[in-house]
Formats: sequence, C-alpha cells, structure tokens
Amino acid sequence: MANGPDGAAGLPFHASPTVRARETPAKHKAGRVKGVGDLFDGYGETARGLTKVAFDEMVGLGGSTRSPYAGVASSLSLMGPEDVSARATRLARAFMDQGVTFDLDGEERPFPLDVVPRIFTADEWDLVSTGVAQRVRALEAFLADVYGGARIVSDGLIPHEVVTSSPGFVRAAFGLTPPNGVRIHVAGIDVIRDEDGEFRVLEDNVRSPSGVSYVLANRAAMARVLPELFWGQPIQMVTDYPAHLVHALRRAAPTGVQDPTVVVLTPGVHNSAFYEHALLARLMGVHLVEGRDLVCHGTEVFLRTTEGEVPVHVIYRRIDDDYLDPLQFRPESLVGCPGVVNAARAGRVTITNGVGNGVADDKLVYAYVPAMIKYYLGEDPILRNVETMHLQDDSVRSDALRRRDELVFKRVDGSGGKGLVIGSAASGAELDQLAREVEHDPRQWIAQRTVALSTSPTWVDNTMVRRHVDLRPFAVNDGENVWVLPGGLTRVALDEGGLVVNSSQGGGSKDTWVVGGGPAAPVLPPRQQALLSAGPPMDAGPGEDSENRNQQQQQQQ
Amino acid sequence: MTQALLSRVAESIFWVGRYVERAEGTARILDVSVFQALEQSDTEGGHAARRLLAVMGLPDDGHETLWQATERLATDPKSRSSIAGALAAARENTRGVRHVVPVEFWEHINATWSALPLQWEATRRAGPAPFLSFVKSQVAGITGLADTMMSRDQTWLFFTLGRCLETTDVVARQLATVEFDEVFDSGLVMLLRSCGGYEPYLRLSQGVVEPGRVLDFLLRDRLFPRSAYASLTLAEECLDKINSGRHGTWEDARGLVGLARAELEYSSPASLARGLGTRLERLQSSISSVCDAVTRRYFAQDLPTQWRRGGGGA
Amino acid sequence: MTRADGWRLHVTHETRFDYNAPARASYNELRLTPRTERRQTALETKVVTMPQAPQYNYVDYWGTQVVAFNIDRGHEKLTITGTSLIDTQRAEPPEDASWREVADASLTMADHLSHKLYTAPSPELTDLAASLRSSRPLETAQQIMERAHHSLNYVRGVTSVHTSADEAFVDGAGVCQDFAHLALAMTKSVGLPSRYVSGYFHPESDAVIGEEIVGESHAWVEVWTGSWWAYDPTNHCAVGERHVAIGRGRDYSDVPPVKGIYAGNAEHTMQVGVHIRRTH
Repeated sequence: MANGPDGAAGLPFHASPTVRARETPAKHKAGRVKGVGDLFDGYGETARGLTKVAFDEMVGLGGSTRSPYAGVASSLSLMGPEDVSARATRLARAFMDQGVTFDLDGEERPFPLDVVPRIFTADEWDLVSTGVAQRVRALEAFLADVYGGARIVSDGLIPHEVVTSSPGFVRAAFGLTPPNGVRIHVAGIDVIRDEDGEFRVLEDNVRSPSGVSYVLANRAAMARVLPELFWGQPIQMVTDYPAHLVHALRRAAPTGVQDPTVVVLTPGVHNSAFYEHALLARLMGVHLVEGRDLVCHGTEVFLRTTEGEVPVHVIYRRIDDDYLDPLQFRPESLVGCPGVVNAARAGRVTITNGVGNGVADDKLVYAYVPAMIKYYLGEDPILRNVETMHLQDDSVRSDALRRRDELVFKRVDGSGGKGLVIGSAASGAELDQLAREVEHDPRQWIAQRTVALSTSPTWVDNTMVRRHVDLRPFAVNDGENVWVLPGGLTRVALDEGGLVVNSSQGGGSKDTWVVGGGPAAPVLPPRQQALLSAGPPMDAGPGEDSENRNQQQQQQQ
Repeated sequence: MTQALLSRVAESIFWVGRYVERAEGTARILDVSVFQALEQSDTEGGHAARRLLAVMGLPDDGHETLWQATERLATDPKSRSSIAGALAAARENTRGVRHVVPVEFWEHINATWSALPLQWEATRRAGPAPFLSFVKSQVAGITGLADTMMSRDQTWLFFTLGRCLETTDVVARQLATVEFDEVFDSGLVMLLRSCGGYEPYLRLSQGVVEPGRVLDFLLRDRLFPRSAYASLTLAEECLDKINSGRHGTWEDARGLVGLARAELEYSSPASLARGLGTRLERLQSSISSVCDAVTRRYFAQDLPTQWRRGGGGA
Repeated sequence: MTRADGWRLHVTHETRFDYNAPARASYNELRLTPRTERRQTALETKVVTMPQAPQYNYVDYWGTQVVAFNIDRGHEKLTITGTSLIDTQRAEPPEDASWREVADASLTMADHLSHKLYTAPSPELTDLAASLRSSRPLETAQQIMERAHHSLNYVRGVTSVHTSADEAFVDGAGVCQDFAHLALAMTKSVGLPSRYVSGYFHPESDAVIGEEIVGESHAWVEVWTGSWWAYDPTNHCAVGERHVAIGRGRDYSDVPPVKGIYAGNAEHTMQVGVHIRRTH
C-alpha cells in the first residue's frame, strides 16, 4: 500500500521569557495598604525575602494606593477571596482549553496569568514607549552603520573588537540593504523599574523576540473572566498588533512590488513558540511556512503551493540566522532555505528581522547604547541602562568574580533563560564553573548588579502578595514610525522573594494595561440583564405524541 | 493565490484522509474476515488468514493464524496498513497542519490514537468486535467533523479526495475477501453490513440477497456513498474544483479517475463477475496511478532530506 | 602602470565535481575572480558553469568578488571554469612603521588580529612568535616569515583543508595554505594585523611567454607594517608579478574558491586544475 510523508522534524528552539536574578532574604517593607478592603490587608507585610526596598507598582510610600489601581483594587475587594480564586481557576482553564500552554517536563501547563493586571498611566507609558522607540531608532542606525561604513568605530565610540567578536555579527549581512531601511521590524526591549521607581532598560531583543501571543491571549482571557475590572477604564487596546505588524511587513517589501506576498517562517510544530507563529500568521492572514515550503531559483524565492510556485516578497522569519541559509551558515540546517540571503542581497526578498541583528542585542554592546543614542540621534537617552561590567579588563573581572555570589552573570549572546547565572542562587560548584568559563573567554560574559525589580500585587495561595515583575514592550518599525504596543508582556516571579520570571521556572504573567491617552477598547456594558429580546421561535418538527396517544400505544398488544 | 494551499499542507491533509479511511476500512475487513472463518468451519482460521494477508498486500510466511494476523493488522505500529499504524500516521500528519484544520478535528484524531492501546486490551477478553466498533465510530466522528466544520476550500477538497481514493481501494479489497462463487448468503450479508450498506441494498433489491446484485451494488450503485462508483465520482468532483483555476489544462489524475469510473459504468452486469479478480486488481492499480498523478501535480517533489557539502568551503 | 614592469597572465581554473548519483538543488558560491586593485588590473574575467545557470555577482565583506549560482535539475557532473586575464606588477616596498603606529591602526582592524578556525596559536607558537619580536614591526614580520617557511616542508597529502596552523607545525609539513596559516598564527599573536590572501601563482620566475603550464591555487599573507606588506611564506619571496590575488580573510575558510551544498544522497569527487600562461 502506498504511504504518505511522516510528520515533520524540526530543530528545537527555545524562546521563553528572560530570567531575572534572585535576591537573598533580608529586610522587607511593611505597611498597611489604605482604603481597599480586606483583600489587600497586610499586603505590604508579605514581602518577606526581599533584600532591598523594592518599588511597588500599586502601593506608594506611606501605604496609599497609586491612583491607576484604585478601581481594580476595589473591584477585586468587592468580589472577595472566594470569587477571586474561582476566577483565577477559570483563567487557567481558559488557557488550557485554547492550548496557550508551554511544555514543562513533558507536561503541558497553562502559562499562569494573574488576576491583577499591571497598570500604567498614560504619562508613565509615554515615558516608556518613547524611550523604547528611541532605543529602536538608535539600534537601527547602529546596524546600518556597522554593516556599512562603521563610522561609530572609526569615531572611537565603540571598540572595533567588540563588534567583530560578537557572535551576532554576521559578515554575510554586509551589503544587505533593506528596501525601506528597516532591520528591526519587531523589537522586544525589556524594561524594569528599579528601587527608586525609575524605568530602566534591562536588555534589548531585536532578533526574534517572542511573547506577543501571550499579550493577546491574556487580554482576551481577562476580558472574559474578569470583566468587572474593565468597567469605566479607558484601556488602550492591543488587538490591533497583527494589523500593525502586517502593515510594517508589507512596507518592507522590495521596491516596485504592488501586492507583496508575506509569509511567516517557522521551524515547525516542535518549536516551543510554534503557537505564536501560527497565531500571528492566522491573524495577519498570511501563510505559515517551513523552510521546505520555500525554494530559491537564482535570486528569487518561491512558495510551493498547489497552484505552482508563487513568488515570496517578505519573510518574517522566526528562525535564528545560523539556521536560515545552509549555503551561508550551518550547512546541515533543514529548516532554512538555501540561497535566501543572496536573494535578499539582490533585493528580491526582504528578510525580517534583518540578518545579523544579533550584534545589536549583544549584551556587551548594550553598554554602548546610551552613547549610540547621542551619537546617531543627537538625543539624550530617555531610559537608562542597568549598570553593567565588561569582564575583559583584568581588574574589573577579578573584582566581579570575587563577588560572584552577589552579581548576575549573563552570556552576551544569551536570550531567554540561557546563559544566565544568578550568583546568589547558584551553588559553589556552579559558581566555580562560571569562574572558569569567564576566565576562559571573558568577552562572552557581562556582569550586572542585582536590581530589585518592582513588585506588583499577585494572587498566590488565596492571598494578595508582592511579587517581582518586569516588562517586555513590543515595538513595530514600519520605516516611518516606531509604534509601541500599549502594554506589552509583564512577567511575574511567582516564587516568594524570587526574581525569576521565566515560565519554566515558576514564572507567570499579567495583563498589562495603559489607561487613558490613546484609542481605547470599547467599555464593556454593565452586568447584562435579559440577553436578547426574544426573536421568532425556532422551527419544530412533527409534534410529540400526546399523552393519550402514548397510553393507547402502550395498551395495544 | 489565496485559495492555494501550501503543497506540504495539501499533501499532509490528503494523507490524513487516506489514513483515516484506511483505518476504518481495515476494521471492516477484519470484521468480515473473522466472521467468514467461523462460518466456514475454518477452526484454525488458516485459510482465512492467508486470504486476509493477501488481500491487504502483506507478506505471509504461511504460519500465521487468523488471530495473529488480526492482531497484527490491528496493532502493529510499524505498518501503515494496520489500524494503529494508519491512525498514528493520520495523527502525525494532522499535527503538522494543526493550524489549518478545526481544533476539534485535531483533538478527535489525537484522542482516538491515544485511546487505542486501552481499547485493544479489552480484546483479550471479549474478542476484537468492541475494538473494531470503537475504531469505526471514532472515524465517523473525525469525518463528520471535517464535513461539518471545514470550509469547502482546498483543505476539505484534498482531505475528501484522499478519503475517496482510499474508499475505492478498500471496496476493491473487501470484495476480494469474498469468493463470490461459493459464498453463503450470510457471508454476503456480513459484507454488506461491514460496508454500512445492508439496509440500502435491501431496499434496492427488495430483500433478495444474491451475489451478482451485491457485486453490482458495491461497485456501481450511484446513491450508496461507499460504492466504488460513487467514491470515484466524488473524487472527480474534488479534482475538478481543485483544478478550477486552470481551464483547458489536461489533468492526469482526473483522466484516470474518469476512465476507471467509466469502466464500471459501462460494463454490463453480467460482465462484472467475469474475471472479477483481474478487474479488482486493475481498479486498485488505477487508484495508485491517480495518487501518483496527484502527487506529481500538486505536492512538492523530491524535497531535500539532507544537504551535503560540495567544494572545499569550511 | 606600464606593462614594461609587469606581467600579463592568463589563468584558467577548472573545478569538476562528479557524483555517483544525480545531485539536485545545488547552491554554490565561487571565489575565483580577481579584481582590479593596487598591484593588478583585471582585464577580463569570466566564469562558466556546466550545467549552465544564471549567475549573481556581488562583493563580500572582505572585498572578494563572489559569483553565486544554483542548479535545480538533477546532474551527475558539475564543471566550473574561471578564466581571467590580469596585468600584474611588482609590489611597492613595505612601509616601516613603529609599534605605536601599528597599535593605533589596529583599533580599526580587529578582524585582522582575531582568529577564526585555523590560526589560533598554541602556547609554543605564541612563545616562538614572541621570541622573534624585534623593535620594528616590519623586521618582526620578516623574521616570522622566514621561520614559518623553514618550519614546514612542502608536502602534499599530509594536511587537508581542515588542518590548523598548530597541527601543521607539529607535523612539520603542509601546503601553501598551511604556510600561510602558520605565519598568520605568529604575526597575529605579536599584534601585527594580518590577512590570509588566496589567489593564483605562476610557478616559474623566468616564465616563457606564451607557454601554458600547470599553475596552482595559492595562498600567501599580508601584514600591516604601516601599509599592507604582501609576502609568500611558501616560496619565501615577496609577492609580485607572479601572484594574482583573489580575496582576503582571516583564514582559508573566509575565501574558499568553491563553496556549495546539494541535495541528495550522492557522494562526490572533486578535481581541480589551474593553468596559467604568461602572455606578456
């Protein structure tokens, strides 16, 4: 008997949210939260295990509630702990049913979504979003420069060696000029709030940042399960993200193409972020493709369809550079498309995000971004960096390694949870191994002070407690504007005192709101009365037998 | 362009159709085969086992008993002809195209596949009937979901095309399990029941169960959906719609389907029974050719399964 | 430039692949086209493939001319023929800068002080290089070239394209690419920006005009001592009219003459032939 093809086997990739540092237990901030009822009683006192006084998103100095949270806090208090717990369960179930899950030890778990949203005022968001957009613009200029004339090197602002030794610096990207100049079509600029409440950029992600599917899923779930929280709040919507993205992708098409064909290139079903690839493709109305669906003839790229080979103009690829083109990079890659880089070079196809973007989110390069903002844009940075140590200098390195149990060490090309060592949480053996690796190749590591991330009220074990959070805003660059999705993905460490927000290590997320200041989602109506006014009755078939007739039937022999 | 499917997706969904139908067809064949052995006092089931393996196109070492052959055809995960193998392949192909099929469709196939081992356990006590019944009703659910939930775009068309080709193939194989010269009425009844065509046949023949008429019904009846003729007709319609954008271009697959259908349509009732074995073989090989033609035209060919380095580059 | 003090060379570089079964979907990049630069003028260059295929030309990060092509249909043989006509000259005498000047210039030449695949030196090589360091960069470079030349016997078949400088040094034998890698391992380790150069070489210093002989793909190095000084450690001579440069990089892997992939299960064998003729 004839047989068809077996299922796909792609190469696994990891795209989980970033890991943060863990603090050692010490002082905490006490205080009673005023004016929001029993649910938040003792909220301030639950922060055991925090070293420093972390900034709290909801509770200000003196214990009063910050205004953006007043409405939500009182709505939750009115519900009471039992109802809130019930809603939390419903949120988890909604995700399981929809398949918004991630793999933990072979088991599918819902990505935990907390009942309490994280809220930004329009002013706060203005600061974050303009800071993020500024950062993207500077990194765009950096990429164009570093794959072109490299003025920033000849002008002495960044050592050449930092650029050339970056694992993300791709020499094959030299001469790849995107048609509309954009290389960072989607950016995830991770932002935290430090002990003083100041927003800082923790890291840039301009290769293939993921997580926006959770943003969309979170908003939809919250609106369904906790509609009361939304009433009366002009929350900026997030559902137009796919529209912004597909618009930016279309604008990135080679010049002269009237109706560009855009595709989302995924490694395949085995990839942990496949759900997001499929969701975005669906919401943008474009094909989701794997490498084997594409073929290059000369410098043109085509899609294999049942109606023959169709030209492709824009490839939104969620595949690392290394696996993108076996002619240029890893020759064993089966998830890419050979010849695609030269097709981009010839201007026949646009690869988004651009090849070689990794040099811009190299953690060593991170330290130079504030200087880049001044150099390329002539502006002062709106958002500051976190203080970072470069370890190639002998005295800096030995000092950092001496204090290695207090610092956070990151691999420069890491993302997600990979290549991160949290000094205060690592064992002696792990720290010794770290020291060896750092000594062996100091260029591959940076060290940062451990920042106490801001905390946010989170529902854990039927209590409202303080947990650390961070934020990944998403920015879309269409060549004219950098649009920042209002809100983004807030990740929360569910362990008490923990700063690890990675989903595979006990992290969860929060719906993130920007209240006021922009196009709002329609406010939901008050609790509904009768659903619909009655329409005409539905058709019915031949009537049921009457009681009498039934009896007579039974009586017959 | 917007109506076109990715070749890989079309190929996967086509094979889901074939495998799902194959699983059900195998279940029906096993039903008939076991009953026949009982009826013919073939206590060891040796003769029936030979026939069963021959019909399924599987190697036969001559020693397998009917029970062993049945178990193999129900549970062997390595064979695409067994129920377990076919459903595993259906599931794997569906998984790769999950994002273009209804969620319930995927979930139903997945649930069916994962329940098989447990269902087979019951067979040790109760014989194969409950297992086969489970498979048949699950497949009915899968195809029902496809029919009620899929838009009639190329996804549904390729799925249905796959099902139709497999159905025709299965009918041919089912007919080959029966020796029309020697079969008892009860054997014919079993054959008809296993096709779900017993009542339709009776209405048509007004109760007369007769080999020639049963053969005609299963090969040529226009109204009964599992007849070879009806499946080929639907297959041709699917190919027509798939090809609708390209008028005037010859399509091999459609030509082959049409020819096979015409051969059935224009053979006289008497001639159907003559040389039945050869006719059934020819029908099966037509299906094979149609599948090749569809693959050549719509599905991607010879995709690289590995890249090799040439030249001295590092 | 007058032709009186230069040569004109005609080079034919043929590479042939034979497959024991059809190879399909072959994607390739060629680096066999000399360009006009300081010491040479490329008069005519052409690349012909059989089976034929449209060619895409570009200049890569290192300034090397690349010809890319792909072949869709099955084929059991692939021949690539690069033909070039080039005017060559003797090189300018090298500059003799100070170490300070070299250090300053190095700030924008990080590529040329880093190692990729084949030139990272072992501790012995590092020590050896350090022992050859003198007060002048040019003199240091010259001493390193001398030492590299004498450290290896020119023997084919001992090393492969994947041999590192260390390995060749230990073996004491290699071909031009190994001499070049060895020299680079040492020059870079003392802080001299250096490049691997791939090209062609006419083996006869008193070449008969019009005679076509078997030439070779060749490799040498360039070291920055105030300007780029080109030297051939294999033949222990300055780079001059007999050398035609194709491209530069950190090591061989940045300038492979033919790089490609193909689909299918076929095994392949490769044959390369270079013929060179002095026409003037």
